[in-house]
Amino acid sequence: MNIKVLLNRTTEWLKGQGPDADIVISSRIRLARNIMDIPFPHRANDESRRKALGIVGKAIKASKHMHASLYVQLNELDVIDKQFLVERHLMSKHLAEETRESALAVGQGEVISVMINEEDHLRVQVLRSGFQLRDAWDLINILDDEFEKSIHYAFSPVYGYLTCCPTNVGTGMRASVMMHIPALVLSKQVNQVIQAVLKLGLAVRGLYGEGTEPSGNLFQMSNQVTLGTTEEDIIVSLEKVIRQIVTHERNARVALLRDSASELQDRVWRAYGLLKNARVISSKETIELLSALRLGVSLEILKGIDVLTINELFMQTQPAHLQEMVGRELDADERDFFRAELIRRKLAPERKGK
Amino acid sequence: MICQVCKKNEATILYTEIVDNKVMKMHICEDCAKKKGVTMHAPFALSDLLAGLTDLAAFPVEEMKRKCPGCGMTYADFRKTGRLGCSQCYSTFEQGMNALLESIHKQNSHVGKFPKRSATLIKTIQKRKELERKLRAAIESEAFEEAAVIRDKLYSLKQQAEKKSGGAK
Repeated sequence: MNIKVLLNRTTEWLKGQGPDADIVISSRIRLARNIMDIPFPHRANDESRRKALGIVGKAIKASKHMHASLYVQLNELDVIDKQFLVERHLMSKHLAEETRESALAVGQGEVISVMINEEDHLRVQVLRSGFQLRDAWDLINILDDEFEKSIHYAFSPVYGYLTCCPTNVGTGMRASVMMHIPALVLSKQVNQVIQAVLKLGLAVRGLYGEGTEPSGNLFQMSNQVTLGTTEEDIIVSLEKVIRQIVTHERNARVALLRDSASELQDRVWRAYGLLKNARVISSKETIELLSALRLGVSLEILKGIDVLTINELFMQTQPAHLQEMVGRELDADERDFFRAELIRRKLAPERKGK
Repeated sequence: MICQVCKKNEATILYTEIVDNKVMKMHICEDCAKKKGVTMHAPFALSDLLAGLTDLAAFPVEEMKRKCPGCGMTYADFRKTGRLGCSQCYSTFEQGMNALLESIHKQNSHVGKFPKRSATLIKTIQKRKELERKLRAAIESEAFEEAAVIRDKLYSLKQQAEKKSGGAK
């Protein structure tokens, strides 16, 4: 399957670069769009769905920004392939479960991805490393302009871009950032932060979006309101909140270093010790230990390990990634074995940064 | 706010109970909600969001049966799934839609980006809003002749817009 080419490529958004990348892992913007006069995917027959695929496929081919992109029909993929793409944040769980005509296009560096016939005809996403919502918006805005040259979008002057679910109507835009806030969790301030974020009308989710439990001190914050506000305002207000959380996390890290330096160092070095030596390790334990390691590297308690390596490990230690790497289906015990082996290999000094 | 039942924890849930045909509302904490047999969902789950919106009982039966000419979906179908069937559904179910959108977004009209090809349409809408404003002013100041002229302009504008938009409101 041609999606395997992604396995050995570095995903742009995991690079650990960009503003505030020690705390903000990635910034993502997605737009929901539908094609005029074709029923929304869940209500469309196979012919209509194929028609949508054709129209969007053509727009993708014509787009400069989608040059040399990867295009796959969902029915060409097996369960592991689909899970692999979900783990890479290129595809939603919703699309992975889709059994009818659907497709996915992935641009170079995995910055842009376009889901076709998900909940809406188009779900366009731009994913950037670090705190770069504005960059993400600039790119997706241009891409959207490109697409609308050939796609006649379902749009109402009153309701804006018409979406299958009324929670997305208007701008059709969801802006979100993935944050790593271990110090706020350790100092038990995280619930306060989440309550405040929820009160501001934003949503808080775990690593894999809707319905997932937060793990590894990773939290995803996003806007809820899409109607009656401009794209610019959505970004500005989300940015304001995120900037505050970044400041709180920074302060909490300083306080931890000041008040409980030994405990913090112990936590980081133990995590490093376990990751470097474990022979069998679960996904849950891995995420928690990687989180501690990431904090240690950010605070320079540990030196000589790339943030990229750690960010990549978060993804590569997920079940489907391990199975794609090994090249066959693995049961849970086998995965725990290969996971430990991969981590040891990636953290070995002579291979560092690779 | 402190939980109104245990008076200890932070209240995070607005609990509604119907006792003797009276609606009781109280702010309670998660623990007390569990004791009352309330199952917790992830915050902002769509079904909760939609369920907690307009009062279904107050919604006329004929509205629930209203069918979208574009995709055959009824308003009742929509309320069950939370998903619309096609772009025409928005204008078909307009009556329930405005209140629904207002409770989700606190707003019911779009102010963001629009497709370039809709630019003329958007301008027409803005012109219409302007004319409507002038019409109200004319009626208020009892300038009925002026009002009649504005009304005619509005009428022709609306007809043009309907032709161009091709069904989508």
